[in-house]
Amino acid sequence: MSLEIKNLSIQYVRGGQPVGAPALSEISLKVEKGEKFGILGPTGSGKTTLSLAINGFFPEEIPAIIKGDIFVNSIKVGSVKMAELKQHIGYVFYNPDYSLVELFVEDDIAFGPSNLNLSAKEIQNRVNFAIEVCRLKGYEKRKTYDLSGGETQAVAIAGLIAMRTPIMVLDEPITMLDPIGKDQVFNTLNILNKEHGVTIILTESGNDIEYFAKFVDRIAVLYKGRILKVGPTKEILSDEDLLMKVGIEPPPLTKFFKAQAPLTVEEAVKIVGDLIRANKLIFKKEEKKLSGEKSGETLSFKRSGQEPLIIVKNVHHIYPPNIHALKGINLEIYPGERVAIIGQNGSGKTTLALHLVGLLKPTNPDAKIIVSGIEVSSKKTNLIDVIKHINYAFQNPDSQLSQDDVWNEMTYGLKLLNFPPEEIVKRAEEALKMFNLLELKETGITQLPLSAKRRLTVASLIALGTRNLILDEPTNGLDTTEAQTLMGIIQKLYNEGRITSYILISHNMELVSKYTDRVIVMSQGQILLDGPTRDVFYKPEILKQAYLLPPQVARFCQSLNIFTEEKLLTVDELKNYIQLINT
Amino acid sequence: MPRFQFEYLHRDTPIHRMHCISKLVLLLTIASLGSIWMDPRYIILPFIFTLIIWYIAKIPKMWLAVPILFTLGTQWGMILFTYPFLEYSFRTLPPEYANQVLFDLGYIPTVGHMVFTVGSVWYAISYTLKYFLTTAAAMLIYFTTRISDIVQYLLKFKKIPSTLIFSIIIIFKFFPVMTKLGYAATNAMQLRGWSAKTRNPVKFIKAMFPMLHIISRQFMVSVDMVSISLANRAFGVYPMVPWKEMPMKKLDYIIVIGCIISIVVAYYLAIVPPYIGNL
Repeated sequence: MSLEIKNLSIQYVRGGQPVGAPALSEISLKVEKGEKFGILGPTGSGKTTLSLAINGFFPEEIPAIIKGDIFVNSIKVGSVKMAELKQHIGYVFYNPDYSLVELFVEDDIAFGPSNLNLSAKEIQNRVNFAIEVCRLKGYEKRKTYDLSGGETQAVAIAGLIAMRTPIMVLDEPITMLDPIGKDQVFNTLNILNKEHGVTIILTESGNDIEYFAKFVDRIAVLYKGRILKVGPTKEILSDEDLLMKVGIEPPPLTKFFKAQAPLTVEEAVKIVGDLIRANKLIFKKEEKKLSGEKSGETLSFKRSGQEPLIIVKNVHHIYPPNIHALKGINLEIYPGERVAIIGQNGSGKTTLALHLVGLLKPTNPDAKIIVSGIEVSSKKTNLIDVIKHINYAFQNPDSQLSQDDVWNEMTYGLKLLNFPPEEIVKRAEEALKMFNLLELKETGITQLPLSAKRRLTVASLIALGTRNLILDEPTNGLDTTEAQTLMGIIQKLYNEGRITSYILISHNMELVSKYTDRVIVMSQGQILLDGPTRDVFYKPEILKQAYLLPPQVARFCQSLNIFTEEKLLTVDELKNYIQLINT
Repeated sequence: MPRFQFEYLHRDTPIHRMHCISKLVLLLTIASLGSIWMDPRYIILPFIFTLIIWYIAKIPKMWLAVPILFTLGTQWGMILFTYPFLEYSFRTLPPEYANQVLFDLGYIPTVGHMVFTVGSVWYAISYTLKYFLTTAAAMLIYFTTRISDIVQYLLKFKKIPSTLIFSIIIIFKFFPVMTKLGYAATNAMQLRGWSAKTRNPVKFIKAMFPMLHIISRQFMVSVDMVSISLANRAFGVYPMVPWKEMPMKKLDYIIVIGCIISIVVAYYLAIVPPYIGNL
């Protein structure tokens, strides 16, 4: 047995005193050698605490009261030093920045094996293997602190792969990766599992449920610190009541086919054949008309007779010493558009976004960026004029939140812009209310959960009166419910006209298909594809060049070559076209 | 996201390809020659040599500002308040020439009578070059040598504790990580109307508070996480093993030997009559 947990309860301690409710209560679990085991639960359910506990971080590194026992490869956790335990079990943090310790990529990957008393040749071999499988060729000499989020995540995983511990625990390891990058990480983990017998334990909060479902053999559902159920993947993901209780959505096709619970597009395709033969599936003849959103028709309508909100002409950006991040970007975005910018890690999405708000300037003199008539690309332009029209919510909320508590954070920008005191209070309260933060207004920033921090970053921009927003990976690290809450609020503000347009940067294709009408695909600093969401997601070959995959429903339709005219994207749309009978 | 930083720059140049130890020896040689010699006519040689290496290493010209500012920052006081009062005995310059008055600033209350002689100007030039030379050489190493290469080399000496070596990495990592954080925080605050463009120092410090708040908060988190990250990567179970093959090439040996010879020769010539290179 790889892992055995007996009646584990953990309560965090601060200043010698227990804090809040126990993070974990009476957890008992067994994971066999060579198993691919999943821990599924919403944010705050205790997944990270459980992962840290298995890895021996309590109480040696993090103070806590612990009851119960954990055995890793028959070694009782706590009976040996943590560093020694790390020869048996490895861990990738949910925040990959925390996993990296060295200054350069290859050095960081080599750091773990260098501590395991291996020969230099073996370390080198392991480093090369990890670089190869994590698609990090060419990154060896890059600085670890200059990598994008996705690249950092890949390096953190490579570091763990190079250690080749018999058990690997990965805490939501793929949230920042592009879709093909996610697939590749799981392919690597599969190789390690099958060829090296490595036991893999993976946590998931719902954002990457499709990849998670495809990978794990068994799942434990964790909710409010307790395990609700442990069972095979199919059994857990077809248990609608259970998933509804914990606020997690199963993968779209698993949700659609319910009883058969296919975990992959391939399985779903096979199920369709079986169901047709058994007369249990019919294609509806009189389909319900799809909403016009996401179609080219709607885009043309929105643009008709309007001046573009954003004009980007021939923008290049070269970072020192010679990294050509943007290569001649040309673009127009119209008022009312909901645009997604997607692309592989390091494709230039964030660099382009920072140009649109004037934080970065093009490095070629003939470039032009105009937002609401203001020449943002000009060095003379005052940023205060720009942020009246467009603003940007950072990927990492911790780099945006600068005050002690929620109220001061909300009013900070308003004070800087010299709004009258009564207006400051009015705007701040209104924005807090919109984003369900009013009750937290006196809470300290450090005590806020990630979901509240993300809402606060957007709320503080809305309070400034900005009507056009750029949201950079706004749902990273959030579970399904939290992500839908945030996007739901933004959609509501859009419908009410409080937000005129928004640009969403995301690796979550389900989110993009649900909340945007137009998609811009970037690859290596260039725009590879730009069009209505439906059209873009039905060009899988081009998307593949940018390391992207269409949403699961689109891939399903493309595999069966059905509804390619209608270009379906979501389960709700699929329900209008396919009827399942007594399944 | 890449941007201007005070840190190692990866380039494919002969200087970057040199072994870290031969580069360190070269730095020490330049610094030593600067300290041995007093005569600017001799110091100019390692000075030009440093500029040539600087050029070959393709270090951005704007980074020359660092040794220039450092030299000016540390030397202006010396030039104004020390050199005019020095009564040096010159071994190689004729005294009547060295004592020739160039500028007489007269009596300055609490400071005294200030006179610039040829000798004091000679000293001012000499020390300015020395300061510049040492700073530029140190920066040359910093920009062209990966600290991890030095660490890998040090690991070969088993007696050096891993913790000491790792402390070096952490110190070197601290600056760029905090710079990156400061950069992100500044960007975020600018997007909410923040600006530190003011000539009033009190207002400037006040404006900087929120940014310092973000940095200090993140720093505290980072410190906690570093110790957890280290334990997570099995640091301390065994002594760290150097894994990079870093053999010294012929050219590296030639440089090291050449450097040692130059120092010995320069020392010898400077301390025996006619005191070549020494004033």
